[in-house]
Amino acid sequence: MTFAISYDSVDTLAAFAAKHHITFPLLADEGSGVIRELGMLDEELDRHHAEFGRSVRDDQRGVAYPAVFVLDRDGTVVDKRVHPKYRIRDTGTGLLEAALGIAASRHGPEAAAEAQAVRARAYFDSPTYRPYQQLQLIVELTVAPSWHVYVHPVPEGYTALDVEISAVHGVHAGAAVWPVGRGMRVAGLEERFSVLEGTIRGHVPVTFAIAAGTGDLRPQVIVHYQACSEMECLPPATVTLPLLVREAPFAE
Amino acid sequence: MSTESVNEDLSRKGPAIGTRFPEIALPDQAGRPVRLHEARRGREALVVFYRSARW
Repeated sequence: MTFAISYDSVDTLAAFAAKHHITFPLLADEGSGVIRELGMLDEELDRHHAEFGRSVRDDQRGVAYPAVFVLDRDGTVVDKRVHPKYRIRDTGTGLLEAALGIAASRHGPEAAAEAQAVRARAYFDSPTYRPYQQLQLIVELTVAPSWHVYVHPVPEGYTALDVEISAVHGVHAGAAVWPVGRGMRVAGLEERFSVLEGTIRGHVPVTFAIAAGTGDLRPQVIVHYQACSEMECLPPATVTLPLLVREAPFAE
Repeated sequence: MSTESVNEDLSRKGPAIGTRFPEIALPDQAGRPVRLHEARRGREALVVFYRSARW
């Protein structure tokens, strides 16, 4: 479940919840006592506002750093994201997915393709984006039995598993996070390679640094890999997975 | 642009990974008192800090 905390009053949150049909708890930390006690007070508000060309109003002081904490069943923090720039925000489902291995229940439409012993599918953790929001791109590969793919670093001449996003203005992909590969040695070669097999799930943080009103975006996810078995290697493969992300309506 | 390198400076803010999130007690949007861990009832949870519902 989700809890949201801000320094707004109960009345402000009541109106906000009614307007946006929010049923999960919006906690009113009026006066910012909890925000301060937890060390979440944004002390750099002035600098941040200057970067976005705005000045700070008195009623904006006491605001928290935008952040998300993921708690496990014991209430222990297992993941956290704290953002300095208040316009970059993760989606909660992406963090749950990445930190707890829970499949996001309402992710974006997926695209799939098959080539060279691998079936690839990709989807964003949300069907919509908001300006300056960070989504998680999930890329899942299913490698045919007795085949494997390589992850960085790869020996010369081999193609490592790589994910890129076609150039869409304002859409920036961070580094992909893959499971740790299995070490493998090939007879006759000195190096140890790192391989992945079976079903592989990686995630890529993607920031949508896009102004409001831009509408639907169609980034293409391009996956590079090379599948090998004990006997042979297939040519390097590239599959393109076209995705759709809609702009979420956002009333301020 | 990499958001990871920017986040490193602020990753020390707030409760650390591996520690129990502190118990907090605040009213919700209906004015009902909420104690975080009690309300969680042993389930996983997200605690989201956001700037404001007004601006």
